[in-house]
Amino acid sequence: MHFLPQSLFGRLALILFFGLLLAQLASTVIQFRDRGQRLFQASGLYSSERIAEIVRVLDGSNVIERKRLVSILNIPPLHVSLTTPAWPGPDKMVESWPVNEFRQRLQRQLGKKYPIRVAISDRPNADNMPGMHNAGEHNMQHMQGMGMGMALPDALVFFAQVKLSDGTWVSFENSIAGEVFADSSTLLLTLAFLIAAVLFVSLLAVRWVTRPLTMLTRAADKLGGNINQPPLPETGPMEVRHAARAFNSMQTRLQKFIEDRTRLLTAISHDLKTPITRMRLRVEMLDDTKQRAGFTKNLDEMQLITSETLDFLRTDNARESLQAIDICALLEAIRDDAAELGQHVDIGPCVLKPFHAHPQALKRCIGNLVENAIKYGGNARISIHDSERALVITISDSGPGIPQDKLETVFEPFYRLETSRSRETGGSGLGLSIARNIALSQGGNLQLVNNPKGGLQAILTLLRNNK
Amino acid sequence: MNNETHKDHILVVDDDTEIRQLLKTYLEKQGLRASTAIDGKTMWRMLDKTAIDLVVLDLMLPGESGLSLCRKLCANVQIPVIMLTALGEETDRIVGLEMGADDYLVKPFNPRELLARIHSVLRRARAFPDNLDQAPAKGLIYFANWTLDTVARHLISTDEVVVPLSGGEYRLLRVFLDRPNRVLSRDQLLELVSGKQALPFDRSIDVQVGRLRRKLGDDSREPRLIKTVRSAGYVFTETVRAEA
Repeated sequence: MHFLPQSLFGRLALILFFGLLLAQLASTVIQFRDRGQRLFQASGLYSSERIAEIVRVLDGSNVIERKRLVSILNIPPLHVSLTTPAWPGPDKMVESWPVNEFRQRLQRQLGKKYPIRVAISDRPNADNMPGMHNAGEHNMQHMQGMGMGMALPDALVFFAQVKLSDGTWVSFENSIAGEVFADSSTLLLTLAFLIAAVLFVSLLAVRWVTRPLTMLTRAADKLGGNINQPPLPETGPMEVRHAARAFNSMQTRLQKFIEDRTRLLTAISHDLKTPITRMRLRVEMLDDTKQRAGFTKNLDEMQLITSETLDFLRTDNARESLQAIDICALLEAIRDDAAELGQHVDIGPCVLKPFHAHPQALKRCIGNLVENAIKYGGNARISIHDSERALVITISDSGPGIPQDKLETVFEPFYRLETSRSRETGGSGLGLSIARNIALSQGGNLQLVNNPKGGLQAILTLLRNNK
Repeated sequence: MNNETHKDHILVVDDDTEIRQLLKTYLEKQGLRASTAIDGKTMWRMLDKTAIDLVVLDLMLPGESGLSLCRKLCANVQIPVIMLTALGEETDRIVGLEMGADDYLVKPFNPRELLARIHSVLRRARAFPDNLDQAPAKGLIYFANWTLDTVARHLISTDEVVVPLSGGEYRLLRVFLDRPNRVLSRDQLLELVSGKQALPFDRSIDVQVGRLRRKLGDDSREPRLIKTVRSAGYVFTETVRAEA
């Protein structure tokens, strides 16, 4: 079923469109048939009145006058003749057409004194000649069915023979061309218009119905980037309103959950600073230099963890406004800061249009990546690739890289690779988490890749149209 | 050997008894004189009683806050102040500097770092005693085609593009902006920027000035902002306008 549209919009539109189209077509066909039949019948039956008039005129005149009158009255589509023409064969009879009605009508117009024979055929008077039928015989020709009586014949011929008082038969043949009624160019035009209208309305209706869903999807999508986005408007159809309300309450609960955890961690990190300060002072009083160095190192680690934790939790970039940043200058600043610590950072060619972001956060993000590259890889090389869509900053090192199955795990808060090397270097295990958080909050992403030529690459992708 | 009167006298204002006592012991161990005060009231009493060379002031104090005390200290008595601020609270730190503190340190600090800062601030105060009269510029500083955001520590160009600065560049620029139209020797610059004593023939400050000029778009052959004064040093010649 892969040819079915994938989207709800497409499916609904398809269902609605075909449903409406089918209904429209069916009703048109029915209407079309009905209209044809009525037209046929009306014009056919109407001829009975004229026949009756002619009969009365002919009956009241002599043979010579009759011939003259017949030549005058013989005006298409009603043929009048005083000869007795062949009677159409049963195979040409149209059962559905109201023979009886035609007969009754004609009989009524004429009065009882004229015997009549009537028949309706779908073809003009044919060459085969069945025997004439007695007017008294009510069982009329066995007539051929035309499908379900729905299809229109090419033409319809009303036959009537009336016996005048003097015993002469007058024949009438009234043929109505089928195409007169089958000509439906206006009908087809109407149909085309209706189909267009149906298509348009169904698209409109489906868009109207699915739009809140699209909005919901978009909101859910954006929630990942910003938990504090404004709640959804609870409007639209009832189901959608309920979904929006459920979504909003989910967002509130998530916010509360995150707030609680944040407050807890912040409080812990904050409250640790006083004891750490005291301990730092106490350590300085120690006479044992070896012990002092050990304590100082431990305290450095503790302090780093608390400060990084606070940094990690301080996700609100709201304090900082979105500004155009000279990224090359930012990278140079990071390089120069590293140089002050005797570390080497290499920057590739850099010519950039300013990029819109939060300056401090972005500096922090790239700074963390550069710091990691130096810490684990000995040096850092920064290369920049810019396009209309995104700015990609790649930070490579010459280190051992990261096991393939840990490339994603290292982004988890407080996760540290269990190698003697990383334990020695310490670190809070938050640097990458912070960096990725910032990347995500700027509408970008951060990925780690092992360079096949050795070393690790941190690829920071920042979308340019994210204003 | 210094006798008591020649020792710099530091006043530690902190509400945490343990930290107060430990700091006093530590500073004394490092050859300084130290007194303590639990809050603003005690601090003013101490300042009245004794000659204090420098105040180490905690931001979070019971009663009158450290910020308010700092402002009064800078306005009334010309005593250098080092603020101790809460961990990671950048805004507090910046506000502290704006209130006129000469330096700040984030808690938990390394005591050796505090000692280094104390010495550096005292040295600076003695090198430029008049500088204490004018509080350092705060918030946004405007000069030539640039705005320096002292909170975020970056430059903003006229077309509103942020140009980030390295720590060294920022410190050097601040030194110039705080002392416009004053010729600064290489030794003074090095001292002010990094707190280091210049070694003979140390040209590192020239490299930094060159870098800063490039960032400011200042032509080094015909500089408009930071001019070279032959055999003397450098001078910042543009008008500086600060806004709190």
